[in-house]
Amino acid sequence: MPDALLVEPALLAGISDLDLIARRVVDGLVSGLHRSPFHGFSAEFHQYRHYRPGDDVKHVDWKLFARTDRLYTKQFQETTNLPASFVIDTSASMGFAGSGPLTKLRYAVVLAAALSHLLARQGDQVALLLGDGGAGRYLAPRGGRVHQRAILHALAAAEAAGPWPAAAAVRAAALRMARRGLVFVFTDLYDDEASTLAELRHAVSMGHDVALFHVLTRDEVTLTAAGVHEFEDVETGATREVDATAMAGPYTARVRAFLDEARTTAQAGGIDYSLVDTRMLPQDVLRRFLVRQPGVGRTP
Amino acid sequence: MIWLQAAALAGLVAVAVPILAHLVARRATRRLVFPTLRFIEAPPPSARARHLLSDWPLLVTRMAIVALASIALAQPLLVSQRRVDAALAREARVTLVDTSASMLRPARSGPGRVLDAARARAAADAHGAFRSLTIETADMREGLRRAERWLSTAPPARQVIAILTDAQRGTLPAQIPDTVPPHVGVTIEAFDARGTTSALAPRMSRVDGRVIVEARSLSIVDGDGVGVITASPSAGAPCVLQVQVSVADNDPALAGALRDAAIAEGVPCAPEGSPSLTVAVSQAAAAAASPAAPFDATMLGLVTRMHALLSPSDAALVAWSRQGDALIAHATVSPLDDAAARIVAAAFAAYEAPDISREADPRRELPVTLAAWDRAASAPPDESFRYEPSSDGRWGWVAVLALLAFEWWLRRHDRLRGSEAPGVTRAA
Repeated sequence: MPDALLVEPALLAGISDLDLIARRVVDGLVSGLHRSPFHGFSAEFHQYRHYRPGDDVKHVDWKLFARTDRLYTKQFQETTNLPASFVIDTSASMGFAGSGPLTKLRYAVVLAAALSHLLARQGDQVALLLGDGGAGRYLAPRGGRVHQRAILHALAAAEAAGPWPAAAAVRAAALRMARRGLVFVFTDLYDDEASTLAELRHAVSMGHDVALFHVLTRDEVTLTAAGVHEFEDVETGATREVDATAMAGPYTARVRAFLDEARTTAQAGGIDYSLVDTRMLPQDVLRRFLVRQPGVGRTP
Repeated sequence: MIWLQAAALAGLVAVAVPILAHLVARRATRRLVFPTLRFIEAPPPSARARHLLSDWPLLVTRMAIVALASIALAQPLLVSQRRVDAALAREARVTLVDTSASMLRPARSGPGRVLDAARARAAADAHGAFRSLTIETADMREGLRRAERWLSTAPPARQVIAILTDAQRGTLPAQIPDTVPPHVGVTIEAFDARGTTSALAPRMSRVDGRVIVEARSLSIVDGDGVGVITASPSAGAPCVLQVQVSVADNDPALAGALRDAAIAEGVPCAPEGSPSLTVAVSQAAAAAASPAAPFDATMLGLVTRMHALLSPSDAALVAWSRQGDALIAHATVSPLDDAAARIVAAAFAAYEAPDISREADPRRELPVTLAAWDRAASAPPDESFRYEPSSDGRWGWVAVLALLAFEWWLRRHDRLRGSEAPGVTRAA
């Protein structure tokens, strides 16, 4: 229960040790999964089973056939040695927290830290691209504790400001990965979502597994403000004075259309789409994401 | 138009309050930093126009409410001819009611005492006055001083002092005192005045506590034309009445005439300034005297005069003394003077009759003296308009209430329309 309490978003807001947060989130997460959810190309021997017609003959253990005169097929446990790249939207809109305890950026950082911790624990290589991936904001894929510590340090220092060249950042993250891997994108999709989704589809076509975490606050999905407000765009500074009470209905309809469009487009392009509410438990978000992965629960 | 409270017009500055509130309310719209405006649609221009049109009537209405309230507080007064006439007729009246002893006698014109009738008149006069004060006093000089003090603090109006008295001689000073300003009018109403007065009767009156006897003569002629009575009180000798009477002895007719005359000229006052009154008569005085019955104040003047009339030259002496509230007459009457004895006896008997006292009427001031006390009041100053009981400001309050109701309707109408038209904003 203490672990569950620790990963409450309200509590996470008061903890600055990202490593601690990541470990707690992962501890609570893995205890329910029992095995690695990620699937790579390396494999460890798991067991033998009788050969059945149709099995690939390259997996037949010929030495054992010589000794026993029976055909056995070797089965392998896949290992998690995938390179993974985390791409995080650091635009000013990600600094919005609404009535929730965490900003969208902070919530994305927590998710990324937990996933990177999970991957690092399995010996995988992790890369990080913050914002436009400029100087000091891109960490190439590597493994090891030192690198993981650098990843967490960079995540902890991430700040929401200015616009975010979403398409360019996604493209850069995909291209900088030397081989096929995982690409995790955390964004609110407010920065040219059409180009962003196009680049994500392109990354899929490059062979990457792409996961899109669409991070939003509840106050964005449903307009909770009441009365006349002057809304100011945090990125452009533009203002618009409207009666939020009267505007709530049309607003919600537009947001839902936006979300449906994003999800449909993402799924159509082979992108694993997750809509994330910053009030949800991070481990629940990750568990739902991991459960959807092909390797989870698969019988070896 | 005049303003009874012109200082309240300064409240017109408050007309700016709704404007400021309007502007502040517009600025006070809460600003909300939001991730994106892409889902927030701008209000359509038509809705914005409606919003502006709906706000201006509200602002103008609120300004009108404040302005009208200020005007109503300033108490405007439309000066019409009717109001001018009413202001000129406004009167601050002090009624002095004489409460001296003579006012306590029964009234001949109605039930009750003369004082009661005077009080009723004072109440009636006060009812129609703008401001009024009734002072009851037996000392008119003091009453006039109190009246003047009160009038000096009264609101602007025609100022009048009304004196309700029986005009007994000596009650009033010879003329209006200088302490009464010239603009103050004075009226005298002589209550319960007798229709005629005898110019021949000696007159006694009370002035500053002293009995004053006027130097008048009395002449009565009997049926034979023989007896002639002349009375000439000595002037300058208060409380001493010297009367020379020529009378025929044992003349019942003359005695009756004397009695009637004496009763008719009776003075209901007592010689309070003197412990005793001595009357010298011309007949030879008797050696012994016996105390007479006690007299009251009313009887005193009557009997005194009768003795004066009955004592022609010498000898008879009548002495008066006081025992508490009662006056005792000591008469020394000649045994030979049967007429005097009879008249005295008749006077006593007459006094016992209840109707005699009603006939006893005080001596009054001369008409010329009363005329000197009749003075018209000056017109009130113009600022008397400020004391109008009600200004036209009440119509301003009525308008304020009507506008408040209209303002409430505007706000309600605006709210309903705002809820029916999504995206329409209200700034005030």
